[in-house]
Amino acid sequence: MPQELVIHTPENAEIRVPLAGMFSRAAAFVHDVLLQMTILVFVHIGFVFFVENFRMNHRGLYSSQLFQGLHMMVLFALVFGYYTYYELFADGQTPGKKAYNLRVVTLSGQRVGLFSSLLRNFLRIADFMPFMFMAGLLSTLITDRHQRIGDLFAGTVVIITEEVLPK
Amino acid sequence: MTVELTDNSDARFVACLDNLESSEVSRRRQAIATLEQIGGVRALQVAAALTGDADQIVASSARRICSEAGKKGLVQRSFLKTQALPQTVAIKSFMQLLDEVVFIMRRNLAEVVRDSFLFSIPKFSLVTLFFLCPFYEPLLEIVSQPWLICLLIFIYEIFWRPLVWVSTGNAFLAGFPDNSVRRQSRQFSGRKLYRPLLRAGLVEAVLYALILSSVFWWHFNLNSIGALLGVLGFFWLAAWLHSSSSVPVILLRNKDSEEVVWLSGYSRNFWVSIKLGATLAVLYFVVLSSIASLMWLLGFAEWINGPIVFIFGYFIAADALIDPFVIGYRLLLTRLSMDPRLL
Repeated sequence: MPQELVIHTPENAEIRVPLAGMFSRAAAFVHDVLLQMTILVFVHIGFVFFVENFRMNHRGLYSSQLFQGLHMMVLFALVFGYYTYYELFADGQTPGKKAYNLRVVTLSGQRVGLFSSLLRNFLRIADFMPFMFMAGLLSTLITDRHQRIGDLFAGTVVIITEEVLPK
Repeated sequence: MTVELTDNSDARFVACLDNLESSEVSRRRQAIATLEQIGGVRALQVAAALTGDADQIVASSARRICSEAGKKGLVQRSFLKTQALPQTVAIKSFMQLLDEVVFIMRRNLAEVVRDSFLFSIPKFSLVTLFFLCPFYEPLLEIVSQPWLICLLIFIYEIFWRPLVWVSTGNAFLAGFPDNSVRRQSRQFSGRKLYRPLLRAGLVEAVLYALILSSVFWWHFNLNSIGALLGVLGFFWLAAWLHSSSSVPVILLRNKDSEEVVWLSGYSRNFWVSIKLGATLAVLYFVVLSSIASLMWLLGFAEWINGPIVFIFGYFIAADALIDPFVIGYRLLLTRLSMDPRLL
């Protein structure tokens, strides 16, 4: 099984990029989750203050539960949008991936597109099954390019960005 | 007709590639015709990528180039033998070390899984015994006897464990990137190494079995805090014990070794062991919770809420699944310590 992503250019040249292993990816994920949780705590505190203030002044609108729904939408966007945002606007690197020198790219080595990014991140739910990302772990272990289920569907891989030459 | 390689001027070839990448049909067809005239290895490599082109004329010309090149004895890259594995791997962090263990396992995954499954049959049998308890009341009384479980643990760790090392360890060595280790794995003699491995791993096995037995004993006889302390102590001491390399050294040298080998320096390996302990704790949690969730999803919820003895069943099942990784980790760490150039 290869440890590298082999990319063929149109000129039939061959570029080899090292693939990331499951432990580096898991460590980057934990890093991202901690960051997400910190953001969520601050967002939640801000939202509570805002809603409390709003409740005092606009009692009727508050009872329509519009803000509770808005709160849920913000939380959803933060949980799922976090990865998509960084994958699209930070060259495939979330802060966690950056800390571990990892990057998400397509199978041809290109930057990830919006659809691919959304798909690979929504399918984290499938990777989570039956619990604690067991399906994702198994998929990473047995697939040729160390892809979790989301990666398989979106046609993406996680590579190591820093090529370290042996001494 | 043989086309001289000197005909393949760079300018013509580059122009050909540019034209082939364009979206104009006429330019592409002209380019493939020029490529056919140029011939040679470079033309073959480009043509090989165009044999399935959407434009039938380009595709048929590409196939013709490949066919002509084949008649002249040229072969495409994909027909060459698989490239040799790179013999050096740069490991810069603990996570990369763990990744490398997985990479090595993947290179010989079928054998590692087969051997570890075969030699975990005693563990899986015990798990089955635990899970059959709700259906046979007398069985629950038998397996609830701490002395029986402890006896089984001692027998397994002392007499069966060397066999696990020989089989799973050997399968793991066969996936190493360096040729010397792979060659060594082919010259293995389990019969010759069983006694040295049993002797070398005796202290470790007795300590390991004592800790594991204490956890069982505590759980059956003391309160839950004792059990928790036992589990924590088990992870810490088990991880610390991994800094003893007497058993992996015998496998790596493929000969008996009288000395007790420790990895270089207690303080350094203490932190590595703590990290490994934490990683193993997470892995056990992932596997245990996944097994429990899977059973719940499959409709065996009563097995999750069943007798406390089930927890040990889950634990042993998780242990059987994680064991090849631990063996691989110890072998790799020992290999890296044996040859400082590899660090």
